[in-house]
Amino acid sequence: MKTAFIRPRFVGERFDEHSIPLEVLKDWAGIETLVVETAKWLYRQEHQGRVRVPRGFADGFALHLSAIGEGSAVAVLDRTSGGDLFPDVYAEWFDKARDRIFEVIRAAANGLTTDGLLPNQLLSLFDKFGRSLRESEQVEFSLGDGGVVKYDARIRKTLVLKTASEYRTEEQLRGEISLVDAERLTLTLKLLNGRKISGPFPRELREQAVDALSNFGESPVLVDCVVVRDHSDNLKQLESISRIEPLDPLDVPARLESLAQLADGWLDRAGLALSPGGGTWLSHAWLNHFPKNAPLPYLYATPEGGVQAEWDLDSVSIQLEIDLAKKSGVLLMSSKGTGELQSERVLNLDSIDGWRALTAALGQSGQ
Amino acid sequence: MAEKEHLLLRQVNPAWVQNGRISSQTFTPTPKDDRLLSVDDGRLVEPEQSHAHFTGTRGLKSMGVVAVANLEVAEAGLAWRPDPLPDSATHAVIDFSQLVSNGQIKAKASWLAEKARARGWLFQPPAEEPV
Repeated sequence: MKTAFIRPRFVGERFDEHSIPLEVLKDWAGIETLVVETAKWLYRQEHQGRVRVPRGFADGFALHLSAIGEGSAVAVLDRTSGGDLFPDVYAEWFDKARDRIFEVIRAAANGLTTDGLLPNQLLSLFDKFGRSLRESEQVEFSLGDGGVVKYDARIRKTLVLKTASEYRTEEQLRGEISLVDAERLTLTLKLLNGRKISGPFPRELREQAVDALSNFGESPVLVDCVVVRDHSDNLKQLESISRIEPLDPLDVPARLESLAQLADGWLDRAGLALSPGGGTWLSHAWLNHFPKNAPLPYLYATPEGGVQAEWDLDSVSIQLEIDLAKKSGVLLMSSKGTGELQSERVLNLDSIDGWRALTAALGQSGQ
Repeated sequence: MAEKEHLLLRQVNPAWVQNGRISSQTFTPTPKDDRLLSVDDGRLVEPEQSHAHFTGTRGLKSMGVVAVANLEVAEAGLAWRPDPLPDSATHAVIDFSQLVSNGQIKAKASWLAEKARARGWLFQPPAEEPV
């Protein structure tokens, strides 16, 4: 027998197609454990003196994904129980657990105390629930009273750190593999800020790890992994690796990450650091709007805290000077033969039209 | 025997090198340059000495030295002239001041950078890492 339990609504670019990536769904197994353990704790609280819940208390409880509904993406999670012959006498405790979890999330979101709402050992279970949520994403839960509770990476971190000194997130790191221990199946990833971090990799990724090592100094890699961070978001440990993907030597997000390391004064004691948040914005915009089959540019910092993309095509040089604060660019095309300026125009890179104009210019020049 | 090229030497900031390619900005005067791009006269100083002066005496960062020829500067419609400084007798400038727009300046700078790329590095210190 199926009963409606929760309808989390996923908000973010990854869910715009009314679908939910498997990598996000898989860490929702964590909420089942959280609900069961919370239900047991609430039951024991109500029945003072009981050390254990009754036998079979959680046997009938399981969460199933029944459908993906419209609205960014809504996961329909139903709970199943033993069926009509074996009515689920403990059902109310799971509903109470769900409501208590929402109460805890709401308290954390509003900066209120969660003391007494859940014990510490249960708060730590949030570490396994929502790991794959990215900075710009959130999950919304509708309450019975019409209200909405929002859960995101920040709230999750707040809850986990109430009882721990570190928390885990699923991340994509860019860098170069500088060391592989094929016997112990560990590797060292040199991040683009120069910091090195080590961790284990599964045997099936050994070939990719060794290939990446042989390309050290030439091409970066993208590593899907679980990392451990502390209160201040410092990277403490590479806990596990699920994918190693070689990147183009001109990969734009990787280059932006490198350029973001520049400090004020980088150019002959002048030269401003990249505008705060500007590199992250451009990285996302690039991945979302720049065609995968278009030629990648070389990318350099500008003295004013922006970046300049440069393409060398057959007969034309193209320069796009990007103002990261204004999210706009000046596109210049000039003759490689004579150095004469052919065209100059301003592009609004905060609009899809600006990116289309850039793509069109590259397309025309490449023919 | 062909006459040796008269080269104008330019230092390259580490942030303006990616995968060995120099940025066009290497030959673009910045606002503080007042449209006069600093170079060293290659007839008066060797690339390695020029680099040593720039990074050692002046304490600035350089990935190495590239150059354009005086004839290439002229072909671009630009002029250059010696501009000795108290601490650098070899200093010279490429003059972009007759160009009316930033777009024109950047286009010419891009053309000069292409010439320098084709010529390759004249000097690179062994340990410098690009950004």
